[in-house]
Amino acid sequence: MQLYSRILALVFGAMMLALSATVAVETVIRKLFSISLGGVDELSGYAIAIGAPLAFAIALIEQSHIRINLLHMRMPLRARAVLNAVAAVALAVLAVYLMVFTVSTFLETRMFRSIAQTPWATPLVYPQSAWLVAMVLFAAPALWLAIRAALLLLRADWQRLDREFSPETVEDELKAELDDLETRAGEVI
Amino acid sequence: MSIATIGIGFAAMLLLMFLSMPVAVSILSVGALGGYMAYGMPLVETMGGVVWGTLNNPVMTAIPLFMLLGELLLRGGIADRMYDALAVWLGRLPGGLLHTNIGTCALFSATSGSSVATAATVGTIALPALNARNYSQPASLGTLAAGGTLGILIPPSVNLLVYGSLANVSVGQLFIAGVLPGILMALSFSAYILVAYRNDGDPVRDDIPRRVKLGLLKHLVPPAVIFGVVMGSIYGGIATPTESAALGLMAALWFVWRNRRLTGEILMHCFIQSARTTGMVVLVIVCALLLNVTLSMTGATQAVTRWVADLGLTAVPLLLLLVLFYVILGMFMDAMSMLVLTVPIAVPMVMSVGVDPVWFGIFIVVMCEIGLITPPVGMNLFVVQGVRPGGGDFGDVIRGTTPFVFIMVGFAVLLILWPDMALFLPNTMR
Repeated sequence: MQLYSRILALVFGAMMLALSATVAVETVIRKLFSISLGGVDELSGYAIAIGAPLAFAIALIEQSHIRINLLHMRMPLRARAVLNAVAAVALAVLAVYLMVFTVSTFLETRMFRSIAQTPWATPLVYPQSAWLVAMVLFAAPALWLAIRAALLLLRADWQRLDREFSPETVEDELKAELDDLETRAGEVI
Repeated sequence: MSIATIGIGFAAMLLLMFLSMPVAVSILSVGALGGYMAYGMPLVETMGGVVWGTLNNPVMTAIPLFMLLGELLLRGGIADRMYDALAVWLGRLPGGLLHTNIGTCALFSATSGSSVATAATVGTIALPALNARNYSQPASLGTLAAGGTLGILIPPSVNLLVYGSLANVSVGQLFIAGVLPGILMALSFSAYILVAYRNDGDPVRDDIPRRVKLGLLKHLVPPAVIFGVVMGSIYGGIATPTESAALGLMAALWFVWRNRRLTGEILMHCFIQSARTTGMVVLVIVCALLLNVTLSMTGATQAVTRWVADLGLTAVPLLLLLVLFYVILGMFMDAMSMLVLTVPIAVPMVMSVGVDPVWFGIFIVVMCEIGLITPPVGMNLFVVQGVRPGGGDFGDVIRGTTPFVFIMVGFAVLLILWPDMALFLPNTMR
């Protein structure tokens, strides 16, 4: 799972860096020479449409999707575990729901041969194919985690449900920051 | 749709959230269920088309770019040295290093965007120095926690970006609108320190040669350049927020490379962190925008505006009521959840009494700032307590932060009475 999320993050990051290099160059050229390459806005739109589902998947694997744990952390173990399982299943339902929308939008685009309302007039089927793949890459781990949580619930394995599926707390986040700070402090001149 | 139905929907959402269901799921399930109950499947299917439209939006691209920019500055070690530079310059004021806390937090969080990273980094550097000079615990901890909230107001701010996407307000104008209130709030914190903590801590000996002091200023250059590039290009009308983020990101890459920290490992770390935060933020935005479909189709928005009109409230009393509402909500909720939960309803409501949506963005972010330091759920309080060397009584943090909560509420009231504080700069751009 960690490897999966690292690969997605690499794709996501490389895409964002490439995009900002293009956008930065375009902005400077446009300002200095009044020449617009055009279409960069369109490209930014596609980058987030495709990048966002990848980011959803990474946040999912790292248990970072926002959950309010004010009451959760004060509940007994079993209640926490059950709520974690329900949350995991709910996120999978959400992911599948978004994927169904994606598929229907994609099929419509293909049927009507829709074209972007931009100077490039890109056939939308190209960016939307990539978007669809990204959504599947989000829905797949969501389903996997939901099944895993459901099985743990059936086996009444409260401990693991609590350990693996609890929302990230401020303490966890802080610990990660402090660890990172320590490695930084060792290197900064 | 009646106001009672909307109230039930809102309550159901709150219930799901407090049962620790993912915020995105809580919002969307109420939105989809409400839409289904009102219009059946067609409305739920309409939402499908909205997903592509919401995501394929260049404004939204600014979110991952600013996240990545912040991560690079943080992991590249650019931000770490700011404290030293500010300490020698601000340390001589009455209240000494406490001003440095506010200043560093403001600068640092303006570039990093993460409260936890800000408080962790600044706190770890600052607290040993403060303890060595015998500053009182509440003063040290309170200024750090309060200073850390400034980042979500001082642009580039992800919270303002989120508000802009949700309320369909120009992010460029929101960023420019945040500058003056951000600076004034930092100054009002400093003013409080001057008065209340003027005798706190050992006096700073000023035996550092001027040459060294000037030399330390070089650590402020990278953040200043990046802030200048980002905000200058927006204010000058050269770039959209997304383009300015791209320019800032390129500048940050260059500084990190010069710092010899542009390694594969650090880049990978930045990618994961920025993807993670982008994922959690964008998913709730998408769900909130889907909820907007239900809200507008079922006439919920009109019902709320009509309700406000029937109450006969004018702008100022309504906003004062909202201050109370947000302070209470902020005690139990994090900033992002508060935004997505309330913006779809609150913005049309205040616009109906003539409130400017850009101004309201600044107002709501000030409310979120208060939420960061009010117990029981005040993230900055826990972070500051967490970085405290040797631990201690959590009450110290609360005692130190409480005066700042009052200052911020007072500030919000001032913002209501003097809206130009936020609107002056964006109005010069229009």
